[in-house]
Amino acid sequence: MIFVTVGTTLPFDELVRAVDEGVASGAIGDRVICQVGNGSYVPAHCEYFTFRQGIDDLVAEADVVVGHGGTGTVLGLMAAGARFVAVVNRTAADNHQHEFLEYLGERYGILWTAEPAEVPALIGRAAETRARPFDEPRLVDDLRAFIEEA
Amino acid sequence: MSAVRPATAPRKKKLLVTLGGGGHLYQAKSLIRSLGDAYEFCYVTTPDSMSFSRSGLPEGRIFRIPSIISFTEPPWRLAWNRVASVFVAFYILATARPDAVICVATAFSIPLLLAARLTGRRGIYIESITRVRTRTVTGRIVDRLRLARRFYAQWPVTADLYRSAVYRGTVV
Repeated sequence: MIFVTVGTTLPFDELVRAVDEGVASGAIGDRVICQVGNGSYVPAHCEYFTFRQGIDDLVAEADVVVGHGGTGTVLGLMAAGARFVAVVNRTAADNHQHEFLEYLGERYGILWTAEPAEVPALIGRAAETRARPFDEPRLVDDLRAFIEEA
Repeated sequence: MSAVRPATAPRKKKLLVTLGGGGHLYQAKSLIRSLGDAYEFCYVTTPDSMSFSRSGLPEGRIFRIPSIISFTEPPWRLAWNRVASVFVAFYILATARPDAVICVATAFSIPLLLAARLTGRRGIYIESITRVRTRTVTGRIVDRLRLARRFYAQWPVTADLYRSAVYRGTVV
């Protein structure tokens, strides 16, 4: 099962459409469930819903997750150890997703793209690989020490 | 025999934390979670931030500050908001009296840190985890004016972009 999530704030019709067309053309052979959020494109070949209490169970159940490039989504997928493809939402007004995804790609091997059309091919790759688990030192200890300093 | 009186526990320190939109909120929540219940929390956010989920946030008062950036407000309105936000920041600090102000990447970090600096309160700025090789306008202002006593960049290469930044890791 492929789970597609566009997040809860901005629509991402481009992505949902690309996946829907991928299923129609046979490029994607699995069952697909789409969380479409505030989008207006209605997929014809995928199950879909707008919002839900939580998506962790769908993420866990999916063979591959296709997520928009939002910080919380991508970091959450890494934390969950999911096999995923992150897609930059170019229609998002203030878009710095590209830089961060590129860096995570270099540092952790995540799969990502700014081209929704590439998603079907990347789903295939995602099924075979997994990004390295997020593993950075945490600044909280230093922050605590700084707060406690006289 | 006199009853043994338990020592009163020292008062928990109080932290004022910014709650921005989207990725900034995720980072703030991660940080708050890892700070744990050794602290008391209160929060600042903007009125127009999409109603965020309070889930995972420890109890605490939520203050509102006018947004100092906008794609939709007319210029005069934005100018007014920016001036007003500084006064609101002073008010928030006087009311909340936090031991430290922690700004996680939001634009309204600027009036908050300015007010903190001018009232002798400890101000901390944490640049967004999404900024690796480019600086943010907010970060540049905070850095240039030395508004924060501590400026964390979340990646080693990013710390090199700001004169006052240090790298100590990420918030997640």
